[in-house]
Amino acid sequence: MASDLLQTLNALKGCWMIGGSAVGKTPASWRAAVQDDPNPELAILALAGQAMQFALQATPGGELKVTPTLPALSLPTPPPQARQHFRHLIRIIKITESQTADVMHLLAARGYVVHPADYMPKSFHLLPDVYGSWASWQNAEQESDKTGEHDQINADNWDAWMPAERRAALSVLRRTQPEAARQLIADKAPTVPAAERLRIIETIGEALCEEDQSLLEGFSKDRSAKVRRLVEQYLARIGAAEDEAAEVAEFADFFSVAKKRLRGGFKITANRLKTTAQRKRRGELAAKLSLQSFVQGLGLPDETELISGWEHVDEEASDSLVRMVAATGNEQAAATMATRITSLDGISAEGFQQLFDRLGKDSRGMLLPRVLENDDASLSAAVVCAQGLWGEITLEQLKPLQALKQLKKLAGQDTTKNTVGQQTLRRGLFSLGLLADQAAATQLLAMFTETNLFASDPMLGLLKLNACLPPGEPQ
Amino acid sequence: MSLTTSKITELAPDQASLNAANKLMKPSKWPALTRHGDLVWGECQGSGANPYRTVFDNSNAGYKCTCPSRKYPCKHVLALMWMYVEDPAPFADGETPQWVNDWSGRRRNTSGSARGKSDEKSVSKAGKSLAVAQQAEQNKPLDPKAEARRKAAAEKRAKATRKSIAAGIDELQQWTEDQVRGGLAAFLSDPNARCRTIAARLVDAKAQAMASRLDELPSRLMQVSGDRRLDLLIQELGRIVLICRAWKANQEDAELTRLVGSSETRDSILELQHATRVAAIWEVVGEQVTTRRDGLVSQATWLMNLGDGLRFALLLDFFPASLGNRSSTFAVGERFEAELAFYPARHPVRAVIAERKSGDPSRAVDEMSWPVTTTPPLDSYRETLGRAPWMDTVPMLLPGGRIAQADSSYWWRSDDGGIALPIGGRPAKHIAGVAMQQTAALWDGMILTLLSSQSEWGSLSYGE
Repeated sequence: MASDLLQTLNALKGCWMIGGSAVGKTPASWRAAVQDDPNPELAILALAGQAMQFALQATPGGELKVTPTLPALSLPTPPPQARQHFRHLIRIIKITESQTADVMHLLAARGYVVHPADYMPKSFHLLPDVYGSWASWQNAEQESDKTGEHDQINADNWDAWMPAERRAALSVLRRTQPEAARQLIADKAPTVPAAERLRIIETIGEALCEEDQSLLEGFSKDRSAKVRRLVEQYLARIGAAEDEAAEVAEFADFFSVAKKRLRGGFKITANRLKTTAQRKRRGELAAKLSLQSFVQGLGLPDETELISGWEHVDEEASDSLVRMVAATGNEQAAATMATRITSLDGISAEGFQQLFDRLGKDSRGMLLPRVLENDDASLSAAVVCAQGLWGEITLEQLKPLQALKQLKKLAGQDTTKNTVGQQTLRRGLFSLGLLADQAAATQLLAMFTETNLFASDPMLGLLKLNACLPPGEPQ
Repeated sequence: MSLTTSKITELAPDQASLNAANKLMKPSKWPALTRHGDLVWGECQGSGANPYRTVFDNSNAGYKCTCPSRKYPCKHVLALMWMYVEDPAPFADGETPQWVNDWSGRRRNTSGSARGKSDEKSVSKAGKSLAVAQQAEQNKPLDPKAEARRKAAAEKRAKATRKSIAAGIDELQQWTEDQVRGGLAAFLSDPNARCRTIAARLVDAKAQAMASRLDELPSRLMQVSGDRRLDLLIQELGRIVLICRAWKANQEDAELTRLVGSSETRDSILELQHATRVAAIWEVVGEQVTTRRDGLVSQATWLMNLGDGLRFALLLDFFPASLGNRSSTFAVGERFEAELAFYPARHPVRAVIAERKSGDPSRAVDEMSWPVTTTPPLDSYRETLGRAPWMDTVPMLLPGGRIAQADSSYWWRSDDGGIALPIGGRPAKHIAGVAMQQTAALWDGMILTLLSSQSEWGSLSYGE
């Protein structure tokens, strides 16, 4: 029946396509229906149109493939009011991708994940681990539920894990069975692409120890420059760096070492440089050499002596030292450096970030009050220090801060013509939104609206989101 | 600084705006009046199908209205300000809704205009006055003879219009036959030129709706793949033939007159004794905003009732594209309680809001689920076509299903695999990855347009 209709319609279409009357092409029943019509051609046209709309239905050209199901995450989505504020941040205020990642960390810290209709990340490497299954889903070419079948990663099930989840599973293995993790990385890392290999080797960075040396040396001639650089840094952290003696001596010549007379120890001062070429060379060597070689080059007993005796007279040199410690210093050196650097005064935000990335959550938590105390109104150093500690600062901790006083002052002023002031205020309020706990966020909102800001001011967007995010089950 | 009557007078673009604002100062025109801090907002039922959303900031006289007026501030803003200044008591305290937040989020942190002096002078330098506006309303003359003359003239005009449309329809039928006899291949090679000529003739004949339909035909053809254009053209020409013949047979038919000539006004629908009215809690399931070739933007808001018995409604508004982007009145997913009056039709879909229930029903209706239907979606589509064969797009509620891909085309497929319908465009991957429990969609016999779905992730909208 349907094939007859299709045949008739095809004949009609062929006729109309080239032009002419199609009445003669129709079955007898159609002709009978239109025989008394003053214009049978138009009547057939109406009938054919209806038949197409009514009786025919398109069929797919090939096999229908269903997109794999977006996995549910282990945390719930935020309450409706908070979702509304989140959408406002994303679509109206249009926060940057890294700010979005920070907000997603805040959500995770409170026990929530974003709703996929509100925001679907394009990249997941800056996001909390709870989004791992979304990352795998996004990378999946085919429907695959293999990942969830295995409790622990091993050489046999390696290929069944999607990259993001594989990395998370390796991190767990590294913490619980370091020897098994080392063996697995040695066997499997060379088989994956460079970008993924780099992320896998990064898992060794946690609790790096001398037992990792042979594994790292296995990658020291990797074809990827990024992998080689990372391996060099890791080897340097465990004291296995191989720097050229001439370069170490050349670098040490840029600094003067003097003994402190009264309290003992040393005083290390960067020499004044006369030319840009000298500065450039010092920078190159700082980026290349390890902290341990530098200490040896200066003739100091250990890294602690260097860091505690460092004179902050040349901002560029100090920044180089911070980066050197962050990249090649051992855990103790990084911790010592962090205690000395509690503000961004003269230190680049990148260097500061690299250094604090080396510290554990507890260490950063201990340093946070001091960082907050010394921070400027943008609170950017505090945000770096508080990674992983989002939304935990109370109003009592925030109230005495100089930064808060400056922000209140800026909020009270007309900043329409003060671009720098407006940017500082915007960044500071965003930082407060990341740092404050729910009660503090609520009180800060009241405080700033009383000062001069509209309750609807977009700068208060994150504080509003924070204020309506009750603590759930954190990740 | 709070608003004063003198400030409102100062803000008004002219005396006519104040006069018009005065006419809007009736509680029945404003089903919702709310405030939060300095923000004051309300919804005013204007001449469009969607209510206008109006907000102002009492501290600095900043304002926004979704109406298409070219006057700033418009009469709705002025009326809202005026009502608030005269008596803020009817304005309930409430949480700022998203559309107010969105507006305030986009504003600059400066005052909307220079602050006026706080004296209570009600006559401005430009001669505008609230008192004059109130007087103008009171002095409105009532002349029964003039009213009768007006009605007689309107009837005469309607008769002349029908005659003119009939001539245009005859010409259109002849044109359609010419296209078929001359070959649709030639038509498809240059649809713009062919449609433009007949559309212009139809405009002259006052068959405005049919003219717009033909004007839009080339762009509709371009939206489908080359191998499906002929099918779409035959379907559309067939529908045009049906409409023309049906209208010729019954020129008084409201639905058919709407399809060839022009639509009834909102007030005339509300005055109709036999108009279908449905009071329900409605959910906004979709919005389609399209710019037409005639320079108008069509804003279609699709509603679906919650609770027993499935019913869809379409709030359709048009405004000039030259006014720029207008913010939507409703957000997809929003729910509200209202009585809708439907335009008379064999399968009534287009409607206007007759009465909006005051208060904030969202809290009460949050838990209400979508209606359940046991009729297979294509059966209900065919049933609709049986009643109104000229309908090109029919809203449907689809059962559980998923988005699937075959080569480069995307399909909605029911969970039982019994139905597969091609969808327009390429859905976002995360949307394609969601199991849809129910989906509101539009089906035109060729392409399925997804509006929104209920899923394990809650409500999902496809328009974003």
